[in-house]
Amino acid sequence: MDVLELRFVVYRHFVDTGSAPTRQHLGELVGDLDTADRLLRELHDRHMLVLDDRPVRRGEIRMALPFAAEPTDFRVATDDGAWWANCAWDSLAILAALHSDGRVRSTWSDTGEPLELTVSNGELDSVEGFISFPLPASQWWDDIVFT
Amino acid sequence: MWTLSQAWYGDRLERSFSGRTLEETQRLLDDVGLTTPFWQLRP
Repeated sequence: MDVLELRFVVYRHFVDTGSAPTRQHLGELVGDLDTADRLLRELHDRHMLVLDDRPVRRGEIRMALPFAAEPTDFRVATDDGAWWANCAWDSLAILAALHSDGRVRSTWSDTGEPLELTVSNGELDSVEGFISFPLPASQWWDDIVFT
Repeated sequence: MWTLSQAWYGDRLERSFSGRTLEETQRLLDDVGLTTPFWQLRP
């Protein structure tokens, strides 16, 4: 399995299960853990996914943008499943990637009030508000988890 | 943001997706009108 095929496997796993495949699972698919780790690192270095650098989950997948591997404040649902998004943009991006109508549940960052966005018939329903980007685009990948 | 999401991520689940160059990515931002210095990918 080459690196781009592994990328596809990772994304399909997110779509089908709502969660990231583990290193162990990918190691079984590609033959051994070292090969899985090498391919995952290449995808990370090419900004095609983000590996976890926290000690307890080091080397596991943390993000395959726009999907998040662990619960966040952005929950996306369609009639076919539900996923965690990394940020407000990614929550819309999940529906765009799936080419699906659906719903985003989150909270307004200024008031803490619940927020629901809906995409229906391929269009985002009208809502008043802003999405904030904390860093300029040239710095997004300096720390993509913070971004 | 919805328009940008569709352009940026619409092909992400395709088997053939192999990433984009910086120039291709910049064009996606330009095409939705995000052209100020804040949105420039190259430092």
